Amino acid sequence: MAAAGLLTKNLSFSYGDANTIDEVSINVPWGTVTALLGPSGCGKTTLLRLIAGLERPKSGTIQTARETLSTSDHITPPEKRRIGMVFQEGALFPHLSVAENVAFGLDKEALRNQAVESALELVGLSGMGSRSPESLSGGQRQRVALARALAPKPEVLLLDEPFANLDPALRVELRTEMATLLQQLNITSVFVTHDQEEAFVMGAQVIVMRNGQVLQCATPSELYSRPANRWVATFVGEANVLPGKGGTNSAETIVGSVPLAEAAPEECEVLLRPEHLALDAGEGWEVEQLEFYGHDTLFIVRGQHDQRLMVRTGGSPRYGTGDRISVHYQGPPTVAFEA
Amino acid sequence: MLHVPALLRAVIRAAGLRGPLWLWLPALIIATLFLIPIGYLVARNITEGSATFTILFSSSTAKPLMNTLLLALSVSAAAAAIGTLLAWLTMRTDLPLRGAWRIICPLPLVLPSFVAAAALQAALSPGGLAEEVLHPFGLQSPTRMEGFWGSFFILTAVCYPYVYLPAAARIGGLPPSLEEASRLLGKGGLGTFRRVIWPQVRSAIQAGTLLTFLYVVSDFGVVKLMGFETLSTNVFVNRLYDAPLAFALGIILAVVALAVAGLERASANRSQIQLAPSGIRARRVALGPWKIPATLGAFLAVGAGLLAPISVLAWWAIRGLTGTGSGFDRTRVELSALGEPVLNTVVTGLVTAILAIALVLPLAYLTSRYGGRAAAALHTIVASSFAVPGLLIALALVFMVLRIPGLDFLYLSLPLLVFAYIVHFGVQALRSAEVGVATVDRRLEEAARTLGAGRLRRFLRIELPLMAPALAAGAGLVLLSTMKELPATLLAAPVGFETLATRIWNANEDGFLADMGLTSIVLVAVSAGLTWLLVIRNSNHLN
Repeated sequence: MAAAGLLTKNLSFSYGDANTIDEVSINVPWGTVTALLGPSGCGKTTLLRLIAGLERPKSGTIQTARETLSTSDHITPPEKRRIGMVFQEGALFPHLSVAENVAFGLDKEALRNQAVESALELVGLSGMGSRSPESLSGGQRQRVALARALAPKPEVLLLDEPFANLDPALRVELRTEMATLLQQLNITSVFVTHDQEEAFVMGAQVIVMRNGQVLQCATPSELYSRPANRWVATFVGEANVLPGKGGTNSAETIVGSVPLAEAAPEECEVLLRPEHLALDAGEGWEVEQLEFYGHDTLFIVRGQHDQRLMVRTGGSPRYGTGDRISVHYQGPPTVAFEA
Repeated sequence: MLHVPALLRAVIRAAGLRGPLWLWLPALIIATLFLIPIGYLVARNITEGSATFTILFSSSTAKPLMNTLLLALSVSAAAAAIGTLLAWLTMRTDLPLRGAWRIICPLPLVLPSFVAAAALQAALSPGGLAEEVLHPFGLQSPTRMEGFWGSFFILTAVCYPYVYLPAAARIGGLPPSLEEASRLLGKGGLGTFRRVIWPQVRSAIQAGTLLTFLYVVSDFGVVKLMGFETLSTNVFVNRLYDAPLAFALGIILAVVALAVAGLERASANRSQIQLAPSGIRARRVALGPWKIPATLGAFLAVGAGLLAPISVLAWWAIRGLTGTGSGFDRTRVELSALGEPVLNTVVTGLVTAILAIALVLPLAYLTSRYGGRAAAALHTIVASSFAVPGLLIALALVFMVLRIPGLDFLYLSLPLLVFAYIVHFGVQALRSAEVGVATVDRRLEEAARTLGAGRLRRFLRIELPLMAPALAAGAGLVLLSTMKELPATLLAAPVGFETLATRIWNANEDGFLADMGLTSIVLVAVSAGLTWLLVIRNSNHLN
């Protein structure tokens, strides 16, 4: 792994029940984006605020490539950390113009004009410096917030659900744009989100958190194909988890034999992604419900003992509700968890 | 080694105080300062010992106490009824010209009650304006204005806006959907009012009625002019030759005010009131044949508290300025003579307002940003000082600096007067400052921190500009209250230091009606201008 751009070791924090952080150690490689993914209340925003210095950790250390920011004896205040942050809804200063907002973190008068203009150009808002934040759309506001955070050339950039309050179409557009920009800039970034798709698009690495703890840290594709446990498997994408008999590099399930990446225990639960299941005319299962999405179709099929499975097939549906069918596994080696 | 800040921080944490040390230290000092006058009042009564006790239960106390209670309760009831009715008429009916009424109805507030009283009383007295106007028509002047009914009339006419303003704001803000839902669920008009509207407007009316009650018990000017003996006139009269009596009556007055304020607080409905999204129009009640009496009623209310006194004052002022008058108002007056009192009034008021805001700001941060019981207790101390009549605060402070060696240089000094004002009106500054602090989104401050701004820069560049409208409104309220305050100024102002309020009072006592008229008009003009500038223009930040 490349040199660390941001490192936390055994970081702990507690304030009430919802915001606990328990011995969290993460490593964000220099110049890349890491997405912090988890349900609300999992501590991802608290972790971000600890990194920014907006909360005081109970124990543990935080350091960047250049310096140690927080230990048990010394805590650098946020204004001295050189860490930029993009807040939910932007948190633009409403009484300052766009340019004044962007210039806020810059001190040298001489540098300002050029730095402000180039920061605005970076986010595609050149020439809008004299506008007031109120006159901007939600997407433009988030761009200004990004420009403002980037202008002082921070060592680390933190983004706290920056697209949370945008409408879906704009969200998709802006996240693609921002992902490209952050990659170009080679800036060490941490991106908080509860949206799996967003985490996968933005993050070179994704950290899944739950109840103040890190459950897994991996690349998006690894996270999807090799989730660390059943909870991660169902939180990241759609999943069927079926009881199986393991012991070897394959497991026996009600849809037949399924190849495993690693040997599983005798009693196990096997992860079957819906798109890795295939349907054929046959017996044993019945189409209970189907949802046609255009590019693919999601079937809910019912088998013995009311067992239900999600099956995703490409293109238009070839079966209708009530059709009798068979199901079998047609994917790469998958993972099994201890039952 | 003993580390003092660490020790203090430990104490603060152990005491369950939320918020940083550098806010708690000034806040505790300010709260202590606010306790001084009432503390001295209590201490003085304890040291007088048995004398206090006999006075408290003597018959000479009973009469002014009964008078105070009678007047305060009847004015509160009348003001509550008139204020609520006007609020409903202007906000929820098809009263003609209701847009104009909404602006006019609160206006009696700009007229100090003693000015209204002096104007109407003088106009109605024998040889007064009323007689002069009515005589050519062969009509008699109506009866003199004095005693209980005179006080009741004037105080109701100037106090109803205390109820009208909160009631109108609340009624106007109620979402019509609630009423509509109630009607669809089968409740009639009266049932809807009782079950849906009243529970939501009650707390606003109650708060306004409390303000009226406090205003009346602390009023000195009106009852003195009307010759109606209350606790406040007795305190004022006795302060020089029977201080123990004045202090004993003072403590009764303070107890009445604080007890009623406490009762109102305890019974207040603290549930969240749902306000209508702006832009939704409520259904208007058609007044039908009631339109004419309703309009006449509104006209009468505003006429008594505003139009009549202002016309009388303007009449005298014009005659005085043009120098063609006769009788009482023969004396010519010059506008230039008012330069000094205007300057004194505005400068004292501005200094008070700015100091008050600066002093309560740390406390406002604690209550509105960190909360907790300890901060709420400090808020209560500041708020209770508003319930204590200004007369008593000034009295306690003046006597205290005389008694305590080394403080006598403050006797009848400007700093003492300003301090009395701040203690009395501090809560107006505090409420606005709390609103101001609450309007600053904490994430803006955090964003500024991550951009490298230190404490001072964040305060000056982010928080202060964002709080400015609310702070200006608070300062405006303090300034206006200070300008109108009579008894505290009479008691604590330096000898020869004339404000507009004391000049009006003295001119009236000396019978210089032209001077009184002109000074009053100037006072009203200045306070109306400042109200618009500082309060009304910013009022959307106060809700």
